[in-house]
Amino acid sequence: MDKNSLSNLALASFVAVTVWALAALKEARIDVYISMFTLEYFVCLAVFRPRRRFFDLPAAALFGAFAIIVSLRVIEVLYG
Amino acid sequence: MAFGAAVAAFFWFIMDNVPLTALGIGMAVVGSSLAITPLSPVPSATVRRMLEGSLLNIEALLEELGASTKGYYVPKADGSVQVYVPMDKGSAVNAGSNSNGNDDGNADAKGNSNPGSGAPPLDAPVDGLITKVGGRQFLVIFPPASALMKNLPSDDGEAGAADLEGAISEAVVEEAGLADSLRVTESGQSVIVEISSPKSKAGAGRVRHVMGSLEAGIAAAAAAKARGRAVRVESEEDVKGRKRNVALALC
Repeated sequence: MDKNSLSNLALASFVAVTVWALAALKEARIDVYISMFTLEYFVCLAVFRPRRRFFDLPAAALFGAFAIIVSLRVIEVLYG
Repeated sequence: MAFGAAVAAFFWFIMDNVPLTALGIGMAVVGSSLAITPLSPVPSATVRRMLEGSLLNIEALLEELGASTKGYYVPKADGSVQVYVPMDKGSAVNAGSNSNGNDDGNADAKGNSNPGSGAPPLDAPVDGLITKVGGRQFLVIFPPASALMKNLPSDDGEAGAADLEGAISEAVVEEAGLADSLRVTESGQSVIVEISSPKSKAGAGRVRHVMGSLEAGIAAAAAAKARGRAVRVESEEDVKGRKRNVALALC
């Protein structure tokens, strides 16, 4: 199996396991799920180095979402 | 991807269910990852066989012409890289010699190549199979993966070793699939490339001596393109069959 397929397969497995595990733990914060998806996506990118046809839009979207989540958390810590 | 987004929106706005919303987002992420994955990439084994085949022709040419001196990988203005193989037996170099007034010298003052290295300048003419540069005759060859080099950016030596490693890795590992990974160490005019699990069996005898193995040749071409300088494969050493250490010289 080539690395592109392997990367997508691993990502799908990670996402499924994450949703199952966090749902089982009754996690109700959407930012936790998105943070985990971001982490898993970039782990797959780093490990498998899949080819992309053009600009990696999901990576940019996930990174942007993660940056917003972190910013909100920092603001929450600083200003209560 | 769209289905995942629709699922996420449905469970977020209507059902107010966070885990299933997350499942929808996850489906959108996986879907978009699938969407930007190339549908039918050329298998790396196929690329490898084609490159090995092209090396066999060069091997026959070198045998026929009796070229035995190490060649120089010279980046050209069009983005490709050509190999200039000196046809004279002696390796002595007349730095800056210019016996033929119409030919270029060995090097110019802009740092295109190192005076005294014997490397032809980057703008060396290509007049047929054998060309004359600075009074010396060179056999001009398009090495395997010469056209691949057009995909690589040229930094004219301004970037660091990490970028050089990235350029060589892109060509040898990603594009050609000739190794699992590699590491590059740059020290002055010398570049050491440690290649893990080289996969090609091509490149023996004369072609290996003149141009290096397939992996070394592509690494040299990538280094020449990345640094904007002529590069020569100085030596190669197989370590336990799993690694190959290649020494390149920037000329």
